[in-house]
Amino acid sequence: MLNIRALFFITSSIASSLAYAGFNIHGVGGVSLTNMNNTTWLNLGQATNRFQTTSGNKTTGIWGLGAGYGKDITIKEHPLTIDMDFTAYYTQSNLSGIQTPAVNLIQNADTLNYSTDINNWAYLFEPKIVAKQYPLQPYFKFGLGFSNNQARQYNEYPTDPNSSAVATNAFSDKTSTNFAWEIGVGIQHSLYQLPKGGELILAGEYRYMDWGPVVLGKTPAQTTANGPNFGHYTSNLFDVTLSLHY
Amino acid sequence: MTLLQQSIRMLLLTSLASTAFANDIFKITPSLSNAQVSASATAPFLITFEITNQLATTTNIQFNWNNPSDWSNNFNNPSAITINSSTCQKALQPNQKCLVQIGIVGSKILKDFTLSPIVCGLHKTACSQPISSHRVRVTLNTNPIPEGTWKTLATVDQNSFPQFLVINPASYQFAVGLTSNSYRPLVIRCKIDDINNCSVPFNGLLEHDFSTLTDLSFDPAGNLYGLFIKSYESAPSKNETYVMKLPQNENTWSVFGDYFAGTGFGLDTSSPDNILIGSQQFSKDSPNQSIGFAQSFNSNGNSLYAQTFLEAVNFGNIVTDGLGRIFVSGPEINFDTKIQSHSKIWQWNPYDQTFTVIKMPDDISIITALVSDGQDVLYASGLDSANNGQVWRYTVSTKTFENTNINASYVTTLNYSPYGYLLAGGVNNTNYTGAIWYYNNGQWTDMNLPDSTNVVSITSNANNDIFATGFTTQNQAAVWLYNSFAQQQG
Repeated sequence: MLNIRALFFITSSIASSLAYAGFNIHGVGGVSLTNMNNTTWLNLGQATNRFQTTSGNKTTGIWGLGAGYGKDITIKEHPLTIDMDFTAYYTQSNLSGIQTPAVNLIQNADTLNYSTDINNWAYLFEPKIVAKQYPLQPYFKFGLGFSNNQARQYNEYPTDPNSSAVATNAFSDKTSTNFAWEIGVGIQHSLYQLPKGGELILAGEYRYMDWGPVVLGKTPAQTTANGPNFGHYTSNLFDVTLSLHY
Repeated sequence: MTLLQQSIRMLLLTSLASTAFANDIFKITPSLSNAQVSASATAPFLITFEITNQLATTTNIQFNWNNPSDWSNNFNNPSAITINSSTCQKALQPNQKCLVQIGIVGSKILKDFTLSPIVCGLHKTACSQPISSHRVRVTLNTNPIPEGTWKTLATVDQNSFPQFLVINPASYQFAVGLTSNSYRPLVIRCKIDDINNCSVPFNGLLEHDFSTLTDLSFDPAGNLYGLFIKSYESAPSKNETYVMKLPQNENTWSVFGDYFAGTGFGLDTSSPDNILIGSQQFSKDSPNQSIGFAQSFNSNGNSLYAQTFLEAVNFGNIVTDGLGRIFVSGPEINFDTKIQSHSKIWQWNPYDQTFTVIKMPDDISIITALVSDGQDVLYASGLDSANNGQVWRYTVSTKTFENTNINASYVTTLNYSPYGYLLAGGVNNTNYTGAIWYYNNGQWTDMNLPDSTNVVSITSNANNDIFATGFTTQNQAAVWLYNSFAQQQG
């Protein structure tokens, strides 16, 4: 939270010396590349199960919609625009891996394959600094906010159908609210100047986003408080933004 | 490399390999690898499973008997599979064993299955099933046949006339349709296991002033449907048919879909999304000319397909087989000459709006009932030209029609048991008493129904029980049960 306060202080200081102000609305569409490979453990009471997520590289879509407010400033004869955007993002994916039951009580127990669907929503405050002097205007942005990560439709089945493993756990759906952040760079270009001074801007950008952890609910049988935590859902995002400034 | 070195190397490799093998949480070992169970045996066939706790902690054992889909149907049938004995009702220490013995009653088993009990510990957070080589394949080594004796479940009002008996295995209920001594159709609905608490739901029926009930049928979910007729004796062409529905666990009938002109005779509700009705209507061009009328409805009562057929006097029976093909039967008529001939069976294709006649022997006079084996075979009962009761077998794919040679004076009703044999009810040809037969391996066997003058309806369930209704020699309407526990229950 200190970072957000500092950010507001900095941006409001800059805003006081601005010459031009304008609002924007924008839409985002692109691809999200994730690579979840990690190992976590879950204490079910007496037994502890190991979850080795081996989803590998997954490419999914990402969508966003937002609005913002920007001002033009000049620093040492370099025209810049400072945009203060708020954007809501949505993406969906799934993760899968191998669960080894009761690792604390038996070695190499027969394993289960598991999978769960993931829906992520993120709501980010995204300051952006745009260098305006070029036709193709580079920019830098970062974002802070929160996400709702929903893990649902957990499913497990024996890795080897001939083995002794049997689907046992019915972890419930869960939506967790987490701190989310991003950092990114991009290039934007003015597509069209509106008659009354506005403009339509197209941007292409790369961002790295951490949506926070993905967590399932409990299974009825377990005596402990929490379901599996599969670690942070992180994305490399390549997207296109179309914004209307006026 | 010396022999000793090779031996040590093999030993090391074996040791390393074994540490890489996966382990069972609970080792489950059966007393035999497969079971050949006699379908006619009523004494349980016993299989013992030894369970070893391979966890490094003590745990209580719990079983999940219902999980494997291919035998849960049998396990949900309480008289088919039971836990005969168990030493597993205690906490098992690491490497401690217990035994559970399962009894399988062959005459109650529907079909072959794999027995693979799921064993859980640690409050059901750790479970195992036998590895594939330790799962027991249970096969029936003979075809199932009816097992047991007859028992009279109930007798109904002496002056009433029972017409139909239908059963729904899923909801464990049956219903008897009858005409009361005031000549009004009524339906009695009973729980099989609580025969003394039957109900006669009439809400929704009385206000319609129906005169006749022509068919009764459960859908798989336990909802009951009846074809009720408002008749006008002076003008049969004005008859109206109402499909009435009595939902499971409710006591009020309601009209299913719209009533229609004509007299419904045949009802098939085996597929709730495709409810079939065979009827008689009268030609619009020639109002005295009776014609066949077939309809299908979805589960909301909306009409899907409806078609009249000028070459049939009516469709007294309608049935669908396991592949969704629809068959109707009724007396054939030449619409132009008005000459009526013997009964025929047609395959109705509602999508093409066609009726295709099935080629059958000329000596079939009347068809009284149709039933499918749920696959490729259709059975039809009726009278031959010599007025003997017969049951014919029609194989749809090969279009072959053959006589099964039952020794009957009259065959009223047919039923195909979930156990894979055919049942027929009617009057026998020797002493003209009511009789029920089963057909298995090409032979009919009289089941020696006592004290009966006629059988009007038969049904059977997944417990290999057979229910029938008809008349006793005292002219009472009766409901009979045939199973291997009838004597104990009585």
